[in-house]
Amino acid sequence: MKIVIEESRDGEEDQIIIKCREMTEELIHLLAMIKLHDALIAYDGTNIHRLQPKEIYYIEVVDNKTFLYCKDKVLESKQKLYELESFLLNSDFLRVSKSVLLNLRKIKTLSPALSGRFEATLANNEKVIISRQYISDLKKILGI
Amino acid sequence: MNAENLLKTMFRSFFIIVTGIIASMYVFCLIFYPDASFSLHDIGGILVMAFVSDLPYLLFYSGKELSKKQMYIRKSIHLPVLLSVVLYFASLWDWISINHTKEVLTFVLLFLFVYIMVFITCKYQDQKLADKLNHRLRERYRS
Repeated sequence: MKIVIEESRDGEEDQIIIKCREMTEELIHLLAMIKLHDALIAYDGTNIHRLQPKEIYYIEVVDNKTFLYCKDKVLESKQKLYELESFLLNSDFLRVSKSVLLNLRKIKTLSPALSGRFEATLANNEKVIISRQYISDLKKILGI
Repeated sequence: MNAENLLKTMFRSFFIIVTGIIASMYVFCLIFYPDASFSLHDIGGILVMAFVSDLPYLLFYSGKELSKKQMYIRKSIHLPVLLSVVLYFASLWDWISINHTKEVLTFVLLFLFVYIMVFITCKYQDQKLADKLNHRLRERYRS
């Protein structure tokens, strides 16, 4: 892929132009990375959504696909969980299991789920399991 | 529970089981065989028993994180499977005589007592931590 950088004219807004025959997976991924600066890009079939992190309840990887769970909809992201984790670093999101990033702000209540694990009931009544190995991170964040 | 966590849990529980068996043997023999003595063979038996008692933990293996309900179901299967394994080996090595109902009953009661005590203690500790976490979450996000 060729990268061309041109100097903008005076007063002209900075812009990124993508010139291609078709939007490949690679380009969509690249676009999502650029757009990450202000919001997350997610897909619902062929529709593209821009999401603010605060709208997301949790993010889960299922069969190598990343899904963003909102109040009453589920969208797909082209990004890997570790990319989203690094983007959402220092936010209210915390890795709570191998495949889940949870928005702590959306937790209604926590209850024990056997073997040192906990079950988080979210504001929309969905339930997410917090693995034992990630409890120490949660305790650290909450100052326990 | 994934493979890594399962192996860690099994490794930890091996030592807990060894301690549990020794404590149970002490109480059991104090009641039924106060003059009992143990050989090197018996120590090996304790280690083998701990290993085979660890094996039913494989019931908790799952690629995905198990839900609370799934965990309770597997736990309720784990208990009778573990009890059967322990009873089988205990009778195989003549630790108990299957024909003596009183002996078997005491053995089963001791087993259930330890299992339930461990379950209740863990649940109590987890509930205490959950209360603390809930309190902090409320403070942080709803104040």
